[in-house]
Amino acid sequence: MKLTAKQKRTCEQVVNVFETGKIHGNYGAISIYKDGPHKIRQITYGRSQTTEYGNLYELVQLYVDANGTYSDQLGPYVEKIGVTPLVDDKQFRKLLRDAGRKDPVMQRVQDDFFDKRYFQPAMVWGEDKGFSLPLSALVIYDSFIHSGSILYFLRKRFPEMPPAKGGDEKTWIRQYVDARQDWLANHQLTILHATIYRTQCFKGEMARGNWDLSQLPIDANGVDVFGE
Amino acid sequence: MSKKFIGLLVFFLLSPISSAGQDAARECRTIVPKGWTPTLEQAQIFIEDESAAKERKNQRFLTQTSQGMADLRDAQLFITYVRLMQALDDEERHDLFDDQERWLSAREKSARAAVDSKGGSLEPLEFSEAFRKITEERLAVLEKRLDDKQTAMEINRIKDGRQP
Repeated sequence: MKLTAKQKRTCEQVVNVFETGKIHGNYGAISIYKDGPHKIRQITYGRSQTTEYGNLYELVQLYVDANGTYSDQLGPYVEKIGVTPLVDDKQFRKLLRDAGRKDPVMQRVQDDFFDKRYFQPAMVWGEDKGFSLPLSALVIYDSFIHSGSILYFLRKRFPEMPPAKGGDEKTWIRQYVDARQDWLANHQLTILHATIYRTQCFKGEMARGNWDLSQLPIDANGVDVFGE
Repeated sequence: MSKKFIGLLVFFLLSPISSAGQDAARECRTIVPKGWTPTLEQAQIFIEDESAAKERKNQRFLTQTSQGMADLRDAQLFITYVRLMQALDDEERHDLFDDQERWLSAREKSARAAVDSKGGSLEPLEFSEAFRKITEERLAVLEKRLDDKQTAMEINRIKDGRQP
């Protein structure tokens, strides 16, 4: 999917706000959830949240190679990540937090890393299925960040085919957003109802015909996004 | 500390009572000192109030809130389990231990089965929320059993004319 730099920035910023409430995300964010292998506790880190037993090793290795302010101190940890639990290592957590908050090198490394890990795969998926509009890119990228992919069981809940199979792009996106909102709004785990601010935002943009994301700002969960 | 270890620890602490006399047994069985009643109620109210007061909830806030509540419920369940263990006789304790072990294993599977997302930031929220819900159901069961047991013990105490 071909986006201008501003359209891409707009997509990233909208999703940053959905995730953290901040336009530029939170590069130093650390959370600890019981979502590691066999549901053990693990560190989740960074602007778009990568995990200790997922891709944190790669991210920290990239940062160490980039010679950031904290690279020397984080270097010895690289081989331990994903092998030895570091969730209770306060020094490691502090270094990650400080690097994310204070070092522009870590912020640049994260931007590149999350682009490769999340944004590009979403765009490849969209392109394979024949999507081309910037608002479609935003909707698809959001699902990759939120649910890891475009969930297959949701695709089966509406009739429109993707453009690559002869369907209409805008109709597919509308029906998909409806299906996703319906799923979230009526989920048996009621806390998920609170996440429909994402689909509501997309519905608002579709209603005003903002398919090229040129009408700015976009109201993302109460925060104005200008893509700047 | 593993769940099995905690279970075994509780069992070990309670186990020497079987061959002792009734009074001695009551003595050994008391592993929680009288008047020690930790509560997580205020922590729970705080999380619930903060969540209700926040107007624009982002994903990170929702997941942290949900994880906090899930952890809290698990701790409440642990407290209730220990208190119930203390109130049971040998055989009942064995049964509760086995039952709780089976339930813990089933909880992980059930919570995992409730997750639809394939990664992404929604996945931990789905898991922690399912985990909390399942834990609350178990908590209600053990609380009811503890309540019934304490009522029965109180009735027996009155019948025997013993002091509380």
